[in-house]
This record gives sequence, C-alpha cells and structure tokens, in this order.
Amino acid sequence: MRGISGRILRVNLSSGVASSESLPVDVWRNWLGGRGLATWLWSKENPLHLDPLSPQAKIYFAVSPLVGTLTPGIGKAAAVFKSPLTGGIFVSLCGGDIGSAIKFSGWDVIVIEGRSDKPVVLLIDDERVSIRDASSTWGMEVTEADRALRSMLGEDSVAVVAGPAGEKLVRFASLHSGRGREFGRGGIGAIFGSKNLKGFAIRGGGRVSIADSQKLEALTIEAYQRMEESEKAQIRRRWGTPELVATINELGFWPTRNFSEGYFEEGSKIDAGAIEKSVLIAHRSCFSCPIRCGKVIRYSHPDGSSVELEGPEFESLSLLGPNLGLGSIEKIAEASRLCDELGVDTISMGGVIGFVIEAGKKGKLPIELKAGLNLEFGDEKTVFKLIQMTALKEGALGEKMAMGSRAFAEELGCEELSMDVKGLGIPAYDPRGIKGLGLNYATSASGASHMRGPTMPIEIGENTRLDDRDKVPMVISVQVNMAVADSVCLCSTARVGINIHQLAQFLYAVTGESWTAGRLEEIGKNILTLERKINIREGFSEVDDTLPLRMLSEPFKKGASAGSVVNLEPMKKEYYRLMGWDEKGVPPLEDK
Amino acid sequence: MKINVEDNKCSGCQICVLWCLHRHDGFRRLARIHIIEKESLVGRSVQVCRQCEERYCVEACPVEAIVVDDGTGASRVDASACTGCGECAQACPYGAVRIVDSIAVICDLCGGNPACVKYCPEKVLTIS
Repeated sequence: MRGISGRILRVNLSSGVASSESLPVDVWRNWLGGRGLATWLWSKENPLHLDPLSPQAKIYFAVSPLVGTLTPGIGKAAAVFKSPLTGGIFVSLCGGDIGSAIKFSGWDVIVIEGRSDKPVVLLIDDERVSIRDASSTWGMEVTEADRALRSMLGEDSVAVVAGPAGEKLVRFASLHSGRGREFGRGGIGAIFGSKNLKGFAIRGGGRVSIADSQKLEALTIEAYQRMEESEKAQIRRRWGTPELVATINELGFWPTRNFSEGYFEEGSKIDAGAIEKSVLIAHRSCFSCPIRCGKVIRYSHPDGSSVELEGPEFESLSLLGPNLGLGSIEKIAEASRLCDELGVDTISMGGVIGFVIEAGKKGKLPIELKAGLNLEFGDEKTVFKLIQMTALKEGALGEKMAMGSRAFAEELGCEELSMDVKGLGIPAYDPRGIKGLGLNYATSASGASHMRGPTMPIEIGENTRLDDRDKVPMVISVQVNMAVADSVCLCSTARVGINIHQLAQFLYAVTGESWTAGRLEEIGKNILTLERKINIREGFSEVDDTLPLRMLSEPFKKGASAGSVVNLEPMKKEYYRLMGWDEKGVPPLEDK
Repeated sequence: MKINVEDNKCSGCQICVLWCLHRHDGFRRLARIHIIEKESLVGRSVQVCRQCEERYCVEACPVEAIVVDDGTGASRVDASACTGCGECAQACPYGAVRIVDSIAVICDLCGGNPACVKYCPEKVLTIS
C-alpha cells in the first residue's frame, strides 16, 4: 500500500529507549489510520482499568495515508488515550502543522509510554530521536514552551506542548501546537504531565509515496473547486466559526449562564459581524487547506497592551462568553487566551466555571471554598481568577475545579448542576434545541463532544432540530462519517469539498488500493463499536448514555427552542438496535 | 519571469509547498518554497526565489555552478559542479536557497509554469 511507511515510533520514557516497529499493512486496510488505527492499537496494548496517569498508560499520535499529500483539508493529527477526565477511551484531534510534520518524518504512529523521573522533552528529527532534559521549560506557559522546544530542533520544526495545567495534572488540561491549534479535550495535557513530558518537537524531510500522481492532482483541483463554490466554506473563510453565534443564538439554544437559558441578550455584541468590525486583522489556515477559517484578532489586554490572538473559536467564545454572562469580545478573548497559555480545554473550563457560579448562587458551595470571590455571571475578573486558580490548582477551590465539573458536583451533592456527559463538558449547542446532537452527546464514547457527531448542518438546515423521531439513522450516519474523517485526518469543515465517495477516490489515488464509500462506512462503524467495547470493559453502561437532568426535564421558558426537552430513551433504544448492539447497548462479543 | 510576493496575505496553508513537492520528487526537505512564522500572526515569511535583477547567488558561487536559465530566468544549479559550500544561501536576501544533502536547491519556476503561483488560494504569489 502506498502512502504509508508502516512504521511506529515507540518511546518509553521509563527506560529512555526509542524504537521503531512495523505494523502489517492489513491494519491500515481495516482501520484506515488516525483515530481508527490508534484506537485499535490502544485496545491491543493497554490493560483494563488502567490509571490514565500511570506510567503504564500509553498515548498514540497517528496520521493517515492522505496526510502530507496534495489532498486538501487533511489538516489533522489524531491522539488516542484513556481520558483522566472521563475514564474512557478518548480521541482528540489537532489542526495546524503537526500532522504533516509527523508524516514527513517517516512515522505513521508515535506511541509514548512510561514515565520519566525528571522533566524531559522528546525531539524527533526524521528517524533521529532523543529524549532531552527539559527542567528549564517546566512551568513555562504555552507560547514560551513552543518557542523553547522548537529552538532545540530548528525553526522548521513543529512542537506539541503541555502548559502548566498539564504539569499539574488538571483533568481537562490540553496540548498546544503552534500559535493557535490544540489537542483540546479529554485531559490529554495531564497525560504528558503525568509522564514528566513537557512536549515534543518534530520535523521531517521525507516524502510520501503516491500510487497515481495524476489522478491525485485531478481530484485535488476538483476538490478546490467544490470548496470555492461551497457557501459554507466561504462563510467560514470570511468569518470563521464565530459565524455560528448569530444562528445558534437566534434559534435559542446557545448556552447561557450555565445552560440555564438558550438566548443571550448581548449576542449581537460578540457575533461574527461585531468581531469583523472591531478586532479582526488576519486569517490563518491549517496545512493543506484553502478554506482559511482561522481568524486573528487584535484586542486590548487588561494591562493596556495590544495582543494578537488566533481565535476565539465558536466553542471558546460560547463557553467563556454567554455561558458565563460575558458579552464583550475583549473579555472573552482574554479568557480564551488565558486558557490557551495555561493549557486547559476552553469548553471544559467554561463549563466548570458556569457550574461553580450557579452552585454558589444556589448555596451549594461551602463558604470556605468561595475564596472571597464574587461568584456572579458577567464578572470577567472572577472568570480570569478562576481560570488561573483551576489551571494552577491554587487553593481548595482551584483543586476541586481542576477535577472537572462532574467530580466536583458529586462531592457537593449537586450533580444536576454539572452540564456534562460522562464527565466531558457539554459544548456550545444545548441539546434541548437540537435533539439529534443530544443523542450523539449521550452515546459517543468520548462523552459530550459535538465533533463525534456534528449533526448541526443537517438538523438546522432541514429544520428538524426539535424532532426526536426519525433522527437515529442520521445521527449514526454522521458519527460513522466522522469516525472515517478522523481516521484519514480530514478536517470536519473540509468535508464540504470531499464527501465519502470522493474520499474513497483520494484513498485509491494515494494508496493504489481500491476503496468504496460502503467499505469506509463499514470501517467507521467498526471504530464506533470498538470504542464502545473498550468503554464497556472499562465499566461504562447504558446508564452513562444520558444527558443532564435539566436537558431531559426542564424546557427553556423562552426563545425559539422553548417548551422542549430531549426525549432520549426511545432514541437510545433505536440507536443500540441499529448499531447491532443488545438492548443494554452491549456489542456482540465476537473477537475483532 | 519573476515571482512577486505579498507575504502579509499568506495564511500558512502551505499548499504552495505541497505543489512544489508534487512537481519535483516529493521530498519535504527539497521544497523550494518555505513558509515561516513571523513574530506577528499577520501573514508569514515566504522564502522563495524572486529571480533578482542582480543575481546574488550566481555572483556568490565560487565555482560558477549557478546560471540564469535562458528560457525561464530561474537560477539553475548544476548539481555536479556544486560543492555545497553555502555561499549562495548566505548571499540570498530572501532566504530562498537551501543546501540539502550538500547541494544548493533553488526554485526552477517549474520549467515556466510555477505551480505555487497557480494554486495559492490567497494570491500571495504573482508573476511578472
């Protein structure tokens, strides 16, 4: 099979040994690469009931045959690990340059295992790998750490770093690459922290073997054309993901004040038009993608200086904005920047702050925990302070917030105030306004991730978002489609230019082997089932396939999504049935 | 022909690099165009040959291994004469020359129809 090297780099931080292994080509035929391949490998190499932060835990970074080729929109690398936040299998994807750097260095997968007894960094220069002392970088914020690691290898290298939050094992700490791309969710940063690994820097000078160059070229030019003609792509090109603000707010399911409401009265001050008019200065793209959805702003830092920032993306803007009652781009941008620099997932961070404020207002927080803070929605000083306290585990409140909203809520006996599924904070679409997405939140192995099953364009576009009937086949189809996209490292947005049939053609042109949309869908379904099996072995059950009580039983009182809750149980039953699982959501036990 | 660059429009997609690899032999280290982060997030530094009027690389070469191509105007390196000394790379004001595996690598304008110019989605690169 062309397009792959077939080689894994295995780095053991306990022994300090880096070794090269090869995998049979059938593994790519069955699992594609990226999320599929890494999940399969994880399932083969990790024992049950592992502590995710132990030396035995392994983390996998995987790319695909299409990475580093002309194929547009192949801008991701996939990371698979057991999440310290959810306790289940987790996949996180990062855009920017990291996927291509891994591919050009000649590795299809990088596995990191063990634990170093001192802070180290991993340097990968094609096949030359070294583990280097990194005590000077420990404690560095993300931008400084990125610069430091890249200076060790060269300005053409790409780094992936943990921030101080990862070092402190915050359960939703993130990893950062370049000047604005992350492996955001699931606590991946804490995995690095637990291994005393500040990060890795990588560069590669190799080439990707292509089966049919001419075919690849023709397919690429057609895909560029489709992206240019796609209305959705052009909207993202101009405004980025904040283009969603106006739509979701008007439709009344925009998370407002800890998901207590669906409409934020200050929405028009922080929508894409407002950003474009006041702070937008430039645009950025991920490797290989012409859409250019990244947006750069310049705003005033509280200390008066001028700051450039790529972002805030829709999710960050929402969970740190209306969810916390903040209606100013500068305040939200600064909150997002703090999360980025300290190295925490903006969605989970916004979720736990929202929880703490609501819990505080409802008298659920003991006085000594409140730390003298003004726990009200709309106070950015409180938000900035809580981000810092949580990321650095300062004080009892910081320590508890760093566990994530679910664990903290369980300790306080107010689980109903934590907006999460399986511990992962709910993203910027309240499921009371978009029921199919609610089913996706409830059933995905990751917990509440919109990216496992982004049904939004369909449910909004076809105006079926408030229906809970006839939803299940569509949700499964979207989840399957994303499992495939995540395995070839195709960005979700770029799918407007490459559908699953076109993807099969790209795979043929690169690998020289025949693929069909049907076979890709079968692989996607296998990936979902494998993730399910892993989670069941780890102790998950249908009880965990749920939504917060608020979304099951308390309708919004006003707005365009008022009067509706998620009628989850019938959808779940049908979901299990269509996936071929039993009525408790357990897949058949045949070996894979 | 000459390549002109407006690097504040560069989004960093590196589609130019991908086409450069595709038009040559695909080795990442042999790309003739390099996209480098600047201090500011606005644009990138685009390091590619501009076919300078005064050809610094040609002048700097101690063994006359670089000539200006008659047809395209590109700086053409004679790989068998090149010693990999790096004088050309030092002399280039645009950082466009790399010494790779002891040989100078410079843009050859794809023989007259530069792919990076054709496919850059931001129109950073134009020819005159």
